[in-house]
Amino acid sequence: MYEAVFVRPWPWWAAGPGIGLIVVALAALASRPLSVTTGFGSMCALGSRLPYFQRSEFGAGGRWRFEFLAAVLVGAALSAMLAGPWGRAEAMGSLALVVGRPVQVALLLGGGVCIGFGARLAGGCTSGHSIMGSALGARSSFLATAMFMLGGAAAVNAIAAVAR
Amino acid sequence: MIRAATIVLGLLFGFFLSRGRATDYDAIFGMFRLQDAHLPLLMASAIATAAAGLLLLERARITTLAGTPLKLERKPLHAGTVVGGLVFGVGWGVTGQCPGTALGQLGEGKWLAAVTLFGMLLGTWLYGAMEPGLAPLQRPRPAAART
Repeated sequence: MYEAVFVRPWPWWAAGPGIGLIVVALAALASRPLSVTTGFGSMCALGSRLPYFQRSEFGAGGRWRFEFLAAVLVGAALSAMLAGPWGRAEAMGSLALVVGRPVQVALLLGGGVCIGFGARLAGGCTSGHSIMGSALGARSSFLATAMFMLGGAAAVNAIAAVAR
Repeated sequence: MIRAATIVLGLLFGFFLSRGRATDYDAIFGMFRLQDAHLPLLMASAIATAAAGLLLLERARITTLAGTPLKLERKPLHAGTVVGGLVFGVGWGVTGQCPGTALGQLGEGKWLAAVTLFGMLLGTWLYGAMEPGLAPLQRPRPAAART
């Protein structure tokens, strides 16, 4: 039992509906949407005077995301600790065996900039658009999710063509 | 109470993302290569479950713990949805992370995810700096004004 819950990865039909229920509970208990990237805007707002970051969504009413984001990090850490001895691991999985460290850092930094920039332009990320927005039946979120998938497939297949 | 609920649900979200291998680079890679249906099925079942639950909540017109009626906002549709979506997708594919799973990876000990998180902050700030010029992309078009 402990093995199946804490050590072995979960099948999709356990983790997926579980995440769906978190979304429902967040709405019912806290009246809050599943939302991650807006929190990065709130972080920028702490140290930036740019007019964009003075919007109310990044202000005091949005700072609950700091605690939420920290909790996501800790939750995943608990998962890794319960599964086995926690330790440093490769972020890029088996690609890390093929591609050197400097290239990994460049990919992660450049990719991160794309994620931050693209999420603000599109109005959400995989949490706010793909899960929350799609669950609400918003056309913008269906379209955004299709574009996320298209961009991701293009990037991954380009990397696969070069690296393997 | 609301604060506690948010933190507990955040812990569970990170835990489930990690247990469900959403923080596994190879699972993301397999999804975009159309070789592994695990993550697409995980996402689809998460959306279906959330959709059913949110529909029931809206139908029931519940009052939340915050004491206010539940109000769930649909995001607007505009040209930025397409352009930003593609840019985000490229970042998702290149890193194998999205904002939530990058945090999860860092928690799991995948320390290079810190580079991605720094990039995300940089990209967010970059958008803020360029926003006056990009605002037209976020203007809803008449035909697409409804979401």
